[in-house]
Amino acid sequence: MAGLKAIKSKIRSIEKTETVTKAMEAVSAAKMRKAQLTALNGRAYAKAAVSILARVSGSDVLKNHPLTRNTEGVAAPALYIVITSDKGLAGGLNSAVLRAVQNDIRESGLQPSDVSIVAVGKKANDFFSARGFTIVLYRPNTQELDATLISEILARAADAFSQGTVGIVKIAYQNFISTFEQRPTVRTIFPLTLSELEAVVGDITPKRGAFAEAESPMQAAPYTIEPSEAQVFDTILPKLASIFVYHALLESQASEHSARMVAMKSASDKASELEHSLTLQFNKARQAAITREVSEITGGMEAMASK
Amino acid sequence: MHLVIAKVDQVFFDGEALSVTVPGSQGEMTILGEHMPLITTLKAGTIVVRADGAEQSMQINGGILEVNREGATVVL
Repeated sequence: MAGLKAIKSKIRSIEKTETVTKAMEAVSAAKMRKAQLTALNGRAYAKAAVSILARVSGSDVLKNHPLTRNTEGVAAPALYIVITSDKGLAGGLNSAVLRAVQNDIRESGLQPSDVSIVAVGKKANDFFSARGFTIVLYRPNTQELDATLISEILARAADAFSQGTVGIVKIAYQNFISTFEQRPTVRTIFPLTLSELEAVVGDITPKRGAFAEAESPMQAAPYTIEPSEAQVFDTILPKLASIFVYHALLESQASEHSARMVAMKSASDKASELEHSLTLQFNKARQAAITREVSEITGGMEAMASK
Repeated sequence: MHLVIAKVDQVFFDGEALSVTVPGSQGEMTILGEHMPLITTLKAGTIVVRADGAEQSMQINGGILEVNREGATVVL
């Protein structure tokens, strides 16, 4: 019977797909955990750097530093650092970030010609180059984060901002909130502000689930600053900006893996559901075939007996 | 005092230390517990940490030292 054979091969192919999606789910779960742990390891650094900035944030020298100067009201092009994944199969993960960037550009009243993009991840590069934006730097979103990627991105952004070629530098990524919840986030890196930095450091700890933990408030103290405020800021501001980039990369990796894990889980669930209904269909078809054969035989016997 | 020495993607030291010697921009200095609050830039050189009777040293290429009442933080 052709119908039976077709159903059987369909069942077999779904079984194979399910094996693959289940494996991908397990791999993503492990990778997500690793990205989360790495993010938590970086927290000591982030907190220390932010507390240094918090304690000197009243300084006038800081307000006039080339990386913190207020550019509000100045019509200047913008630079967006957009972080997506290289691969798909992760639900609406990347499209949410790309949409958030598009909305942000529209709300700021910028034309595509006024916006340049630093793309991390293949999806961001494909999306923005297809829409006529200028990609100034493209790097794949690799598994292993290295310091050269961060400093490369940052050098590009800091130079453009301090030289005045761009008036604002923003970073867009998926913020990891919990395994089932990621939120597309757009933050301003330059001009560097304390409130944005505190928000980033606050985001490192997930709100719920494993690794969630209460925040302790920071306290201020009068400091002796050596050799001068300006020199301290020259050293610390690029480091603070690197926290932005580093954690944005980590958050987006954790989000990518958790989104893929969830997507693969629903794919596995759907596959087993489909397999179940196909098995039912197969059994019905087989039963129908048997019944037909039996009635053919008995029909034949009846015909022979009546002769 | 509680000492943290960290880079953006790596923590080198996080724990109780007796003292730490750093190459400050105004010359080498050793920080003990209860040091006055201080923020300073660091030059390239060697950091020496004394904790649990043992010495640990590492090379740095500059950074920032922050000392407050609770402890010290070196941001590389």
